[in-house]
Amino acid sequence: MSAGLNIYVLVKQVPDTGSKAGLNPDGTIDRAKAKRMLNPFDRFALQAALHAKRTYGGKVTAISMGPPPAVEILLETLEHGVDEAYLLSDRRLAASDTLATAYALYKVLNFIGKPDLIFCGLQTTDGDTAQVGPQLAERLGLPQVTYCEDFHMEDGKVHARRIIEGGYQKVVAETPLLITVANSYHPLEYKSFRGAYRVRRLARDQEEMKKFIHTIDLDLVGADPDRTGLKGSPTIVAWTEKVGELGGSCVMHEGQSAHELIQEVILASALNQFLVPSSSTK
Amino acid sequence: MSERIEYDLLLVGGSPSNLTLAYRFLELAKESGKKFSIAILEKSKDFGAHILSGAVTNPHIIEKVWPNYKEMGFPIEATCTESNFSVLGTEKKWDIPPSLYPKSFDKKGYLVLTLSYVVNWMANQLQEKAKDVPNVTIDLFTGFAAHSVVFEDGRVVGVSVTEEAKTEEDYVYGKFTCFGDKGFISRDVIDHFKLRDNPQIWSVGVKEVWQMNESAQGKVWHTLGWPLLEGTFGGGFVYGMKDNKLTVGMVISLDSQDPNMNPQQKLQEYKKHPFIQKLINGGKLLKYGAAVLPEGGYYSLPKKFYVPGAILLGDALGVLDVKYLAGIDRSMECGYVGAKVLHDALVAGDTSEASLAPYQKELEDGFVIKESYKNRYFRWAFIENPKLLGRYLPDIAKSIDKSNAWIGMLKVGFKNPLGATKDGVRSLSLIEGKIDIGPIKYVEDYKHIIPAWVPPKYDEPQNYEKATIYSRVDAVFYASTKYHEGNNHIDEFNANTCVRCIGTYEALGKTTPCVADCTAEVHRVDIIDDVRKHGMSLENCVHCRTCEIVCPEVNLRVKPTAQGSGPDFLGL
Amino acid sequence: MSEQPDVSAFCPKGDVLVIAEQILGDLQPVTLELLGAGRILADKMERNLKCLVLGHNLGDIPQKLIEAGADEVFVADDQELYLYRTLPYRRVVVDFLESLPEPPHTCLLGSTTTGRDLAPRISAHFETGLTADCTELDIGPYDHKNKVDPSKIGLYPNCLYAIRPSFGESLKARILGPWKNPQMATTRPGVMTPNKNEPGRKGKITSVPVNLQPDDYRLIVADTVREVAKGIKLTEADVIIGGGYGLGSADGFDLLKQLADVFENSAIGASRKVVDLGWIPYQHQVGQTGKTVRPKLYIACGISGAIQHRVGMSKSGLIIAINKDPDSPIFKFAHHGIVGDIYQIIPEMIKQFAEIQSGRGVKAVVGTH
Repeated sequence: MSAGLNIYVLVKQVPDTGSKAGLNPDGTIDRAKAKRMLNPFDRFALQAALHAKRTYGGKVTAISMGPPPAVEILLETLEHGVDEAYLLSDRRLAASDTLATAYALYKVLNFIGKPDLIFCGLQTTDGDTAQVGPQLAERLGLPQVTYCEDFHMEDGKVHARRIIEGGYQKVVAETPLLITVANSYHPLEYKSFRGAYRVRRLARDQEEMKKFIHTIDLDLVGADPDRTGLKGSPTIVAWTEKVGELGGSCVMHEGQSAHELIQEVILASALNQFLVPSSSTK
Repeated sequence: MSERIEYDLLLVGGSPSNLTLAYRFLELAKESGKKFSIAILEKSKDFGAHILSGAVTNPHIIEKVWPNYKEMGFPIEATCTESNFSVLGTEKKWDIPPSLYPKSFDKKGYLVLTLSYVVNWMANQLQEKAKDVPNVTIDLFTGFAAHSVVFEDGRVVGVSVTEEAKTEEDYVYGKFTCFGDKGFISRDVIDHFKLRDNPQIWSVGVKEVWQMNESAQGKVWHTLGWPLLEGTFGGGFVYGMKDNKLTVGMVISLDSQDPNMNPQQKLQEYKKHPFIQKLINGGKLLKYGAAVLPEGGYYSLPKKFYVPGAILLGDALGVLDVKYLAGIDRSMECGYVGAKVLHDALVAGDTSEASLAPYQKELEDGFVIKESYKNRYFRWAFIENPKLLGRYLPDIAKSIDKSNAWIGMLKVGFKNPLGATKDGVRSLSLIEGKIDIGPIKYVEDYKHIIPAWVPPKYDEPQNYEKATIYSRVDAVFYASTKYHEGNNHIDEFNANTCVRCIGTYEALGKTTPCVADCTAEVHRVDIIDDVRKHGMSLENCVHCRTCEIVCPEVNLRVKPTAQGSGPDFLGL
Repeated sequence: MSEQPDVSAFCPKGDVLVIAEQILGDLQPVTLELLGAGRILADKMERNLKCLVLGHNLGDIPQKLIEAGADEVFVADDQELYLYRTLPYRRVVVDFLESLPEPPHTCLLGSTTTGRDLAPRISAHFETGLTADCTELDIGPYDHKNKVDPSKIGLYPNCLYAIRPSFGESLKARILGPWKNPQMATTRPGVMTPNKNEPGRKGKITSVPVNLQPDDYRLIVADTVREVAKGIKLTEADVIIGGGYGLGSADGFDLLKQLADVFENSAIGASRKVVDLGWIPYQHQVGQTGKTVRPKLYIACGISGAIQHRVGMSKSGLIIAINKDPDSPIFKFAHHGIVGDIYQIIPEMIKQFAEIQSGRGVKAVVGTH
């Protein structure tokens, strides 16, 4: 077997959207109170990374950034077949925006090796920005394929299909390459028993665990703390306001002409935001 | 390339029996100090998510395993303070005086439990305990089912953990495998070693949990009569729990003659009774679920409780006692006894079949099999004499609505002056275990179905709140089923057989039994190219196995679900 | 350290810049919306609204951009820019911004697959703040008091308020980054209001040099396919129009298809009951299946809302229900309920939606205030 591809997958632990999580006064999410899970979008990235490994050979390394409990999702990636994982955990990272996050991840990638492929989820369910992947690619100076819904490799190049409005593009890219994977890619296969078995064995042996799950900090990767966290973030959440619970409180529209009813509904529900002006494709 | 995964004990199913076994084993291992490894496979995502029971239980085994269980946070819904055994007409209820019904129906002092919570608690206790016993490694695998049994040289050596096992990579081995499942997988062991002369016979339990405005905590009702007035064995139960929650359920035998006996709808009819209406009206349905119970008892027990390399526990064995409405304590006792036998065998380095013989011996010498033997004809009495439930019970129910149950009982006597005394006495003696009629022979449940059966007509309760009644498809929502894509956990062996079966029943103006009796809107009839074919909405399945048991053609098989899929019974 | 820094230095001059988006010569509607929003921001600060457009043989697009509100349009025309590719576009935008005497105050892109691909690269290059997928934009003051970085403390007069729903959309967050220009944001298509088109409006059109580097060719586009067919999978649809027993017959789905055609990326759903009745094939069934369907908009037509249907649709963003029966359970679940006859309501809906799409009709203002 040749050395194979050096594949990285970036994963994040996010609050479980099924549970009601509180917010800190500064508008960031109170991660202590929230139930946690692997960002659902990252499941597609993980599948893509594992697919690349199984098809073209190599090694998959998962990288996450977050407080120590984020190790849970790294263990989860190991259950699915990831070989090794890194957790960048550092208090000074708190309140990092996407730019500061991308900087920190850039330092991690520089620290651990030379990637051939980097897979990211399209976006996270807590941030919903879809920015970290491209910002990281910019830092690394790499080409990128965002919204990737399928790919294969030929002669060392990645042939990918990416979604665009009302269609798709076929692109051919050189490696190293960063790919953000759309949720129309293949869903993550179920964890394997052998993966689960491996994780249970690691969980019993802290020394063995450290060989496969590395917890690292900013100093170790040589990152400038002033460029991370609140300090290194050019944006802040100035304030938030509740817009009310969705569901359960239906606004009824009745007793008028159809014309008036529809006008009322459009105004009340901002339905027009779903309508693309007719000058576009049709 | 990859290693063989082998444990000393491989436990199939996160059942009360297996979790008790593991806990007890840890205690024994702590004393012996020997090194052991244990794995538990639980097909649902979380311990308890696929388990459902009434449940009212005698706490004696719980006390034996966790003497201070109450301080340990054992989840108790209520301690029974009021136990009723009642007969329902269509409008009224008659509480039978305690002197007239078997003592086994008196549940005062027993615990009302949500078994899913109990199992979850047991799994947590196990993990806590494991920290205290470093010489034992214990791995809990939720979301992994045993899909088939691995036999080698006449011995159970493990199970496959993938649906389509191809190589040893898919196997997990155990020096001993403990089957605490509900038959999804242990039936293969029983078949392989030809352990059964008598078939197992089954009931299905359907259950709802309600949030009420008032508390009925500690009150327990078991009922006969409405809506089972056509001869089917079974009854209803209502348990008051803490936090103003209420359990309403029915247990209905699957040997009904009615080819269209829909358990979920029976439960709705039950709920229309004014007695239940008074309790649930204005309340809110929280959960719904269904599960089958093995009720053959003593004569359905396999010839051996163990085979080379494996033991059978709980429902896999069939230790539930219908007369006592008791299964949990008996299952736990299997685990308690099993732990000692397996520990001794492993310490002695003896994995022979003979090393397991004490398991059966101890159960037979203990209350589990002794009482099962004593009550061996209880269920049979109702099969042998269909008039008990087909005629006498409806008569009593009718007279209850006319306000005099005593007259009803007398009428039963007058109408059948000879019969009532003769077969009545015999039935009563069988029920009470006073006579010995030798071994009995059950037939499979589906064989009782009479395709052209005409149900007797009864008045229905009229005044009920529509909002408390749920269609089957609406009820499924409350079972919180969730399946992975590509799920395919029910096999239909021959599609043409189903077409024929559908034709047979439809010609009689009936629905084919799997469609009618399904507890969860899974089975359906599809019209494809003008042919009426069997189809399934597997995503609705609550995994109860009723379809398989009532299929007149033995053409269905419900397999363990994969990937943690299935209902979520936590809270039932 | 308590001394307040001179904040006037933070939000100096700088205009509002919109980066336009065109696909194969089709100017994307989001660009017009951005010019609408950008015009308001620029007017508030008394700055200019500028627009950068990249492509090849752009024809009258620059003039269109002026007519849509831009004061000055910068055109980067090169055959290498005919199709969008990250690296060449990034190169041109970066070079352009670096060539300006001072960076723009605000830089806006559409929250499209292109805008979300390009904007983060620009923001990372200039290490400036970027807020994704905004639904409102505004300009206003901000008094920053957080002591973590004392150098940032101060009262900032003109900040871009980038407002977006966050965390399951039950919160609206106002995101600010006044410390460095350009303050960047992408906006959700269909949300902002375009300016009234001013035919013949005059503005400056300036050509921008294109100097691509060898590194910019590491990715090539082999093919661009725009799908005409409406074969959208339910799981991927942004908009699902669901039909139930209340349609009365299978023919009702023809009407629903007309409604679906109004939207991009839409699909037809159906309740279990009508699928069983054979009104529509099984793959249209929505409700409790193995799949989670989470459209941004779900319009339930004549669906009573059996509970298993409701659970399957509970992840929908906005749910509008139409039903004759005011007591129908679907109304317990929808956000907006219309009590009425489907055959009157839906044609009216289609009519009014078409009016909105052509720029007329009522329109809730969820964009700039």
